[in-house]
Amino acid sequence: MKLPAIKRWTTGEHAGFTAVVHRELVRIFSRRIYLLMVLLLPLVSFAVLAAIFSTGTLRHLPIAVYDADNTDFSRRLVRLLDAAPTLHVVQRVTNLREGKALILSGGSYALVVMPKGLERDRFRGQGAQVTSFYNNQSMTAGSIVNRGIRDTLKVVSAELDQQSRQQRGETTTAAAAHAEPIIVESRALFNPYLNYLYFLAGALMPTMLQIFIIVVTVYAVGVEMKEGSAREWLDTAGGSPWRAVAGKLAPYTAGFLCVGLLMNSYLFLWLKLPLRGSVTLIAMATVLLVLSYQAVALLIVAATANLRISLSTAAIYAAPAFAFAGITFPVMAMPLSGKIWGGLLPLSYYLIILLDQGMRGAPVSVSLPALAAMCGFAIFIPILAVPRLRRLMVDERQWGKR
Amino acid sequence: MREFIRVWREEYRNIFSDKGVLMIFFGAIFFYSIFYPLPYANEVLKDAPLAVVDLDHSSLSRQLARMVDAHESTRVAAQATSQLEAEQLFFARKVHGILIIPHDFERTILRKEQSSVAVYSDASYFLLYQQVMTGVAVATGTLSAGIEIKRMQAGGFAEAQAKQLRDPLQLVAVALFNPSGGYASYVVPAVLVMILQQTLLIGIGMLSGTAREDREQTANTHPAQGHFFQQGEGSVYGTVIAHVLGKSAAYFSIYLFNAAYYFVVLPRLYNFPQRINPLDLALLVLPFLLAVIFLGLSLATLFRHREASMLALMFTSMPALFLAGFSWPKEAIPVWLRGVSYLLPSTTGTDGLLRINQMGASLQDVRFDVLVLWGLVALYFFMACFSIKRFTK
Repeated sequence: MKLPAIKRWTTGEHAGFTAVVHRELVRIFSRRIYLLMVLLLPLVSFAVLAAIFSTGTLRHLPIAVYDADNTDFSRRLVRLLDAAPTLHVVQRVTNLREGKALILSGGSYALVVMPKGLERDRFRGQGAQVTSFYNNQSMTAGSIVNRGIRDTLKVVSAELDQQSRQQRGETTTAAAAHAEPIIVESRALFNPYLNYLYFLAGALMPTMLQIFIIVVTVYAVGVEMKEGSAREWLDTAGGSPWRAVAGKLAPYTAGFLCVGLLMNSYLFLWLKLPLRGSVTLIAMATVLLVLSYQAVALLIVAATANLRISLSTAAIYAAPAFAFAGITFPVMAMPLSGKIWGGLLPLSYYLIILLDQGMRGAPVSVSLPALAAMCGFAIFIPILAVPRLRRLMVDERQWGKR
Repeated sequence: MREFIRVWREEYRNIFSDKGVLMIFFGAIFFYSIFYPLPYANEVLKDAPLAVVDLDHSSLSRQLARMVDAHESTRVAAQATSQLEAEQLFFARKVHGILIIPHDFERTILRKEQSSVAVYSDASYFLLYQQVMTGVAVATGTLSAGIEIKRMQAGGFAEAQAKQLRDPLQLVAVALFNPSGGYASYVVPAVLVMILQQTLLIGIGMLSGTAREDREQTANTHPAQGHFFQQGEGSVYGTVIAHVLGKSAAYFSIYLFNAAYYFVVLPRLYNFPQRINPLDLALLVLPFLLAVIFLGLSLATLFRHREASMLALMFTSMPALFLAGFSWPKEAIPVWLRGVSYLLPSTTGTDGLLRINQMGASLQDVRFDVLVLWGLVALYFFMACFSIKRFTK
């Protein structure tokens, strides 16, 4: 590569941190792939995720009904099911097989069966029974649909119970009191409307961000060995590996902090995720997220000394992080090996802080251990990585490997 | 035809002499098959910890606490003396739910009035929320029903009659396909489809990135040999098609094994609910793999360097996974985006595969997915030919 501007820096007394920053900026703007990676792809991926979730809450999920009774009562049930906010009766099937085929082909998430004689059983007080079959392979939709059906029928059942008590001569208030000796008043803490979007988007966006950070950093550092420009890079820094690393990574750090700011603005301002705790702490955690993943990236390049293998390692480290971070499937239910692996990911700590200080509004003290863990990543890993990286920079036998 | 076989063999040589590609085609496939399901090994979350604030200290309140503890989805991890103490346990993540039993709990019930308990559950973790709510609701419901049925029996009803009276409209809810609600059975099969697609795309991109790097080097030293491939006898189109098919045959034969490992062996190994019809599965996997391979060859010429394909595809994995609609239902994805998502083989591939392999659907049930996949096969075949032809001089 011919970069005349840099030659001037390296030979002169200007060599040092600023020179490396300048050199890096020239590299970034002279190569299509950097702009693509640092700006375009992350933004497109974020935008696609944002678009996927843009409808917000889950409503009107399709279900089918098989009304074999076809009476006033069963038709009223069908209307009530359709009126439930999470449900939408898309089809009335005429037999069970048709209903099953509809679930299998993805046309509906559940089949509600009103058997023949439903209304008669209800009048005789013989325990009328409705059956629902719901698709639990699609667990998100399946459980929402199941809850919708259950809640709808519960309301009807309670209504019928009161009616029959009144018929037996109990007064309305006494009947209500007798209906259920113990009732449960439940509160969904932090996310009262059980907004699945809050829960999912708040964890997914940072997961994407950590993939960008680690991959871009590994690439930017590793490509210096692959293309044999590492010596020149070190010379530009005046021979100090710390200045070389800091100067090289600084433009990316700034870039990712902007992406991080954008991400948090999207989450808290656009999606309106609850922000009940300390904004400062979230900001600090975001800075530490960028720094700790850059640190891990350095360690990976230093350990493998090969661009392709470092990229594969980064992929293995960061791509499945969502599963190990314990948001969808809690850490407490993981086997020990899963818990340990999750503990080695800065993302796990970041998401804890984001939840604590965002949705949960926890006291600051609760988040400090997680913050300390992230500091540990950002401080100790470079101490391990940079000396070894220096050896690679001057050892020509390590270059040009692919 | 001879050209086809030559390219096929040459591509085998390229694959098996490239450590990086081997690491993706075999290493990553194997590694992820162990690593990805790891956190979900226990399938379901049991014994979600909750704190009980028992202000009543009666035998009935203690019975309720015991019943909550006994339910498989919950466990009483702490007896807190005040709401404040329970709250602290909550923020420290020692417990994920709080059950408050009021001080006149038993007395109210003995007076035949209605008593209430309060449960606070952690909705910042959905699975924990569900388990806490289920445990408390079932325990309380059982206790409550017992009390009411006794009251009715005292009022002269038979037990069976009493049961019917208190719940005049019963719901029997049957969970299909994944009856225990296992989390691995829910997530892993879908992720496996995505891993197959992404590794295949990365590998193909890597091979052509290497070819291109080599070509640029050769072009510098021996300009005459700097072509993507040497043209044999016959027409240009014949050669192009032979190339696309020859390379594809190499990838396809390898990924047929990988697909068999992912869709037949692994589900057994991990005990996922599986209702397999081998022929239907094969007829879905065929267009899926072909569509991915041709897509890979179409994209390949975009990558100038070996690593570029890997970067690009790592970034797209997450959005692609959520576009597949297994986690966030497809009905909730905006229509235009759903349209665009059909350009990815993984969208219909995941849907079809889950239906055939996990739900026991027939090919007839997933005909839409199959049709879209064959459409993609045709589209990407032409694009692959076109993009390879650009390098013929």
